[in-house]
Amino acid sequence: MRRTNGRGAEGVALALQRYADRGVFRGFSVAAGREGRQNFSFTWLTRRPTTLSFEPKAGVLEFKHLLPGVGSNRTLVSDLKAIVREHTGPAVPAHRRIDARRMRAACSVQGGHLTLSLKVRGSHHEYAVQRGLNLVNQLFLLLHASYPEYLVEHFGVSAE
Amino acid sequence: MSKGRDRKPGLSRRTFLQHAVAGAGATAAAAVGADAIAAEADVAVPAIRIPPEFAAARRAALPTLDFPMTGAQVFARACKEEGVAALFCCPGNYAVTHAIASTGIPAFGGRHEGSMAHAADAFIRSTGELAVCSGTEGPGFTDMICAIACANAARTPLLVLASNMSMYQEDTEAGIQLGYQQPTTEGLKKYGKRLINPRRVHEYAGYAFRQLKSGVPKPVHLDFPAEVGSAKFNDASDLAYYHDKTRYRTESRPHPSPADITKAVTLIKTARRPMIVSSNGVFYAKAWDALKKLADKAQIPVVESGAMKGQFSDASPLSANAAPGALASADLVILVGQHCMPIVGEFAFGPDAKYIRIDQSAEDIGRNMPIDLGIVSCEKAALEALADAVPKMSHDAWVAEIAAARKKFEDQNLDYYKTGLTYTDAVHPAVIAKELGDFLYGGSIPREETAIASGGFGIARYTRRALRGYRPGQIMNGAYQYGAIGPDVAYAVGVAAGVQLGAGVQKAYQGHPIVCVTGDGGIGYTLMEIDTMAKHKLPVIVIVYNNNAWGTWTQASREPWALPIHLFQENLRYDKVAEALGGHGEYVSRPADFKPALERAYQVAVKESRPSVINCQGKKEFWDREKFPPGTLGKIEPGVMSYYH
Repeated sequence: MRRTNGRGAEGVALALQRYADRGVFRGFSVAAGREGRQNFSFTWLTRRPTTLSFEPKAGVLEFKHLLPGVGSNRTLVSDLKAIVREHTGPAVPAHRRIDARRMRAACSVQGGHLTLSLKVRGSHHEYAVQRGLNLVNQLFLLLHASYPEYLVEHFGVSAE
Repeated sequence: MSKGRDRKPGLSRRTFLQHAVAGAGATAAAAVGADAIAAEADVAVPAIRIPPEFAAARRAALPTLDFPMTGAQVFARACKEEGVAALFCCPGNYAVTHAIASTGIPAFGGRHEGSMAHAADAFIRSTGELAVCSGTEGPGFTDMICAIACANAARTPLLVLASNMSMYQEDTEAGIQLGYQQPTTEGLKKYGKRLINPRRVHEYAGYAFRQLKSGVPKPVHLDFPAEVGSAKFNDASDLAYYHDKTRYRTESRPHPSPADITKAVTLIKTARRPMIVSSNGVFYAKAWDALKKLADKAQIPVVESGAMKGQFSDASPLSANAAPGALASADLVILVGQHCMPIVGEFAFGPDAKYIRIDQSAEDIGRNMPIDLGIVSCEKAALEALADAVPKMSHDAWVAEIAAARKKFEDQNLDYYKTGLTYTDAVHPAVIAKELGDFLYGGSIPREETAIASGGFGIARYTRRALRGYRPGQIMNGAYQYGAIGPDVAYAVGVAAGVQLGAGVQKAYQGHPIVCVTGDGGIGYTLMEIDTMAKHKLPVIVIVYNNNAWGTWTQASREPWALPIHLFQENLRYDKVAEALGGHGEYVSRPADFKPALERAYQVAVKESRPSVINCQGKKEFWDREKFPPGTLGKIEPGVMSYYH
């Protein structure tokens, strides 16, 4: 696929489509919502589909309820938030760092579910998609390393 | 064979009692040796001893194997000529196993056909040499099924032999133990055949070794009806297709196309953080020198996965095995001999990484993990070609990132250890892991010396973090892919046999002790093989983490009606069972006692070539993160923690 510097919704869709084309995602779909909102769905790190929405007016990418049922585990939530936080600073190598001039990442817990939000600055939509996906990968690595039982309970990962 | 094979004569009751009184610290049996184990305070009972027939067997002259021969002998001779390095079996399939033993192929008899098949699998995984397992028709064969499945998942070139009742009796249920074997191993093998034409027995040996010695390995299963094993052949003309191995198979291997190597070099040159994943194929192709040459020349870090580890030394600054935090930074991943492919998300690499996959099987390249370049080649040939073709490169910043990730990982391990030491009423797994690692790699033992049968479930999540490979065949990754935890002690039989014989890559380490890690869930399956170790003088130190429960108990922690499913009796004495089987036993219930027990067991292994069980009393609540952090640990793959792929 031709690499473009698409802006806005187009840039987000193109960036995600590239991952689908490369086979990183298994299955990829887009559904249009209200006011230009786009809802993407793809299977990636687990058997459970990942959903990502893009709100063009606000310039926000959102992995809503990316990690369900974390609310009761304060240590887990704290560790997840620390991962997001450390990716904005020198705790991680520069090539993994999130450039605050191009996007901001934040996670919140609502109804016990963790949502990851990415606020795109300017026209750095592809950057935000790329950094966001890498950040999601890091969150799952934390779960694999330290919270295997969470993955068993919520994502059907083998208990063995 | 190992040093000091013959045991001291049995002690008298009087001598035993003197020693027993003096034997403080370790158990009484440990102080005096196995000979006195059976003795009780005031009753003289015969000592456990190895029958003299074992020594006589070693001295016995081997028969000349030449025509006239039986079908079993023809097959056995083919095994010998193909370099089969060991036989693991229980009684049964007599014609074939006796014929194989008569060729001089070392034969190890054990307590359970399944255990012996696991042992053969481990022997192959830790030596790189072929081994055979055998069971009798019916139950002996079906006892091996789990082991065949494990070997299949681990891509082990295991030769499975089983006798069968006669073809004449087929379908009749006359007598006992009839069975149609081949469908039973469907999906668990690379090739299988019921031999039905005696004249083709040598031809089918060729079929078997062609499969075992080429491409991506998996088990081969042959079953021998009585008519085949007992058939008589006066000379070679009685056999069909009777010719030398150079006529029925080739040592030729696929080599990479120059165009693919050029593409690969281009990808490597444009990558900023390349990484090689070295797996099974590197081991079986004996490609570790080529791997090192490529890694060193282009300064590419290497991480290992697979059923065995140590092909790339963890002493190298390029080793990323213990640097899980860096894996997601790789922008180019070169998978070499990764026969068992993870799907996306199972390896820690990020979504932007590109992939080169080098494998002998074109049919498998592209499965599960999307590729940017596939190279069909023998792993050694491809690595040699790449090492020649890449320019000298440096990735200093990347190597520094690996080093930082390694330090972070080691610091985390140290934190776990310090936390573990604070739990003084039982032995925490972090204590076992750290002190075992220190003993093996930080003390007086050369760090590359001791081979490991790495197993267990919960305990393995800690010990894998501490175990390192410094040479090929050093770590046999027990539960790899199939996830069986029960074979651990049986696996140790195979690893120890390979080390005892100095087979394959174990040659330089012949006769040294080996270590086996397992849990109380695992040891229940194969503990009787302590007898096998003792009678064959296999110096294995079995470390069992005894937390009175299966590692799965936490899943029932909120379901009291189901919890007993996951629990054992508490404070079981696996060490005493070991003593009763001719081994040495240690019981450790406090953190401070683990290291001295390990040192004593090691001395027993060195001086007496006798197995030990170190029963480490933990408690199941250590898996509860809230009460006893860090609780159950997870894993990141590939690297030291990996066992899925």
